[in-house]
Amino acid sequence: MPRSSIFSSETLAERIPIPHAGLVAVALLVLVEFGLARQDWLWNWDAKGEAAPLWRLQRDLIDPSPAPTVLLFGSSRAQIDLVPAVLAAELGVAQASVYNLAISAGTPFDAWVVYRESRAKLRQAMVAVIGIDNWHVNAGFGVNPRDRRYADLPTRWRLFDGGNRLSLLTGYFWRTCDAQQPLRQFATSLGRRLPASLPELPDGRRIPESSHIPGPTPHVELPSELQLLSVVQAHYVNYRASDFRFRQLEQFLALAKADGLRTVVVTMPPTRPYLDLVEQRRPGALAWFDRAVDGIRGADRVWRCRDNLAAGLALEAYYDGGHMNDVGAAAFSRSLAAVVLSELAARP
Amino acid sequence: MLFNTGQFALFFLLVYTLYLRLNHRAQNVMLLLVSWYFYACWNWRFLFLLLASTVIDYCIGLAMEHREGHQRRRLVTASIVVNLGILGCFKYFNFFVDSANAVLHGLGFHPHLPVLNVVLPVGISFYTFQAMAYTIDIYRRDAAPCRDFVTFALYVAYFPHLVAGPIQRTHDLLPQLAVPRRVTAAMLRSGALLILIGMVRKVAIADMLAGQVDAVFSDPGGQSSFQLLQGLLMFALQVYGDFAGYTDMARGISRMMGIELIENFRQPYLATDITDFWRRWHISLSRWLRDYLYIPLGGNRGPTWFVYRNLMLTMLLGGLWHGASWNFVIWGGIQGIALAVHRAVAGDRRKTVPSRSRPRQLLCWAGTMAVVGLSWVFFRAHTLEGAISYLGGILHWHGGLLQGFRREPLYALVLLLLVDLPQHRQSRPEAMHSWPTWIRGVVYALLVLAIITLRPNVNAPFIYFQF
Repeated sequence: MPRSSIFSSETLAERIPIPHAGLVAVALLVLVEFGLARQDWLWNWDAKGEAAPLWRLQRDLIDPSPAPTVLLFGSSRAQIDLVPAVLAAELGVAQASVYNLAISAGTPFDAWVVYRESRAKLRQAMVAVIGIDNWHVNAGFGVNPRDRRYADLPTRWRLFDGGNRLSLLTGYFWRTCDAQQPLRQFATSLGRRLPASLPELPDGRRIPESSHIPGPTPHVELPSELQLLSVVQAHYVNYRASDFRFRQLEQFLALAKADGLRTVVVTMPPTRPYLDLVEQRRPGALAWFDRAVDGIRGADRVWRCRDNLAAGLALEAYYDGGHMNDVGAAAFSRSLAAVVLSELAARP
Repeated sequence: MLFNTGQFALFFLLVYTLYLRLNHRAQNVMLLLVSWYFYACWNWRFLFLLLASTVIDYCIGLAMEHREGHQRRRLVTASIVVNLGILGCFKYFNFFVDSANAVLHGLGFHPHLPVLNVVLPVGISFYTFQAMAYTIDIYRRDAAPCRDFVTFALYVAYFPHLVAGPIQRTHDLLPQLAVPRRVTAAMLRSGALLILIGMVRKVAIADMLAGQVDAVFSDPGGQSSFQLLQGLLMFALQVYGDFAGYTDMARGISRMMGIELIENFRQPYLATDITDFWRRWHISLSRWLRDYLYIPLGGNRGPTWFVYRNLMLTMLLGGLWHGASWNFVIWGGIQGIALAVHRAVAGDRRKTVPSRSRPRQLLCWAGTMAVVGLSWVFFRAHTLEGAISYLGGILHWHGGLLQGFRREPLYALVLLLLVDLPQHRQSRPEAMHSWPTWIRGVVYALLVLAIITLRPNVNAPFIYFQF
């Protein structure tokens, strides 16, 4: 070796033996990858888990119901605030033909997947309504197990961005990473199948027992500023102005429109005190959301309901910063029905 | 750049590939540059602070070599003043100003002393203590000054331990950096195992529990007493998994480069008395405080009350080292009182009675864990009022016996026992190496699966980075 060289091979001069235990571990991991992580039943193991609600909707609502007239999509706000019975009565259609397909922490990607998976039946509807949330449509929550379950390779590349895209691309090739949550549920339930699904209320909603609040909510039970603040922090935990969920929204709208449905996007109204806190803590976030909503392509109607005042509701119509009790949900559903009626009238 | 991210994995892969192909001198230069880069990834502005501390202590070390008496004392004092000045300015200034404001306010004055609007530089408490240890060791003639700036700068900035220790002592690390390293197959194997164990502790234990702990501590009033106790158990597991996990990864990474970092944890939750706990918890800080604070204060010499005073002062300052808040001072105070009480009760029996009966051991262990566990409330709560309300919620029992039971702490305990018990039985971190190949293979696969399935969606930063 010349004296001037900075290179040397003396640090690791020893021959590295074959790591037999490591090979055993790799073999077992390969078994899990191809034997367990790629099984479809694994994703439905915990029917209440985050990976299963779309499968559950198909099994419990879409397959057994008559042909739809109105489809409702969105997150827990749409799930709780949009009442099929009220909409059906206002529109003069059968309650069973108004499908509330919204799920907790639902995104436009979920709407797209549900529609795509049951397209033959859902294309018979006349209107599709999708509720979106001002915390950049749940973009800050990152990738969820449903994204991992249903997104194919081009979708992972095209409809996600940044770290989410990288994580999904890794998961596409290493499914054990994608199936993280169902694997955990499977392992921790020690092989016993977990309980099934949410019961259906008489008004057509499928919501958790804790969210079924008759209302009106007494003033003293409304959330304090501190409680609202923790919700704001949770919603905006990884805030970044990202439009990847809007790209998914446009993909969903395009698919529904291609089948001749009228499409309505509703910005779901949280309470004014909640929004005041958002404006204080995340200046610019709402302005960004407004600009993103302005830019939505493919919707026949965008109904902006900034807050409870815009929706014509008192604070007592809510039970927390963003979800309505039964009184509020019925009133809001009646307002939405008027919007839907106008869209039906505009139908060729 | 966190150790448990893909970004760091790529960084280390590149660094390591290059490292194995360079000679000793080039390795040190490369390690120094990448360590500075590693630090700059958090906030490049604070790199200048690290550089300033490095240059000043290097020069003071050299200047002390040929000086005697008062001159040496002045130089070491200058080093201590500069390092504590940096710490005081960036970490404690606002704390002292706020406390002074509160005291003056209580006395009827309303001065509104100004506070600084600065971010706490990551790892500042670790590298300033390490740099101080160097000049004090030279002053005491326990170490010779390092003439090579690259080697000394690497001693301060070496990336595996830079931001959260273990705090290295001069004679532990500097000699290893000064000579060519040899990496053996055994070092590679045990280094990789340490990284795996560290990942389990950090990702599958600490990060898995982080969200639950945040939820409990952010709203203690809304929790039942059982949930508060459970939250405390989860935090105890989280803080241990987080810090011990970081240390394991740091040691594993370093070992793969042929550089040994000192042990920082030795199964502290198996300690059967508080003195034993502090011999097992954050060992590098305990040793630092012992050698550079407790012993200079007088240590075990002198009247009994003098020893208790030294213990209390050391632990109060040790508490304050963790963070600029009265909560940490109280946490340190509780440890100091517990150590003093144990010393008073056990006395010389600590040395003469080597073993206790099983039931008594169990009782001692439970008592120790109760003290350690309850003191964690002050460590974790954001405010003193929050800590008191949390403890009040436990003491005034309300809610059902198992109301709000969660399974996550049980998973964490099982994993912890899986990695800690073999280490405890064989008194070495790489105890698993002695197991049959196929058992090791199964355990490694289970640990990897635990990391994959239990990790949360978002990487939580290491708790000790804020110190």
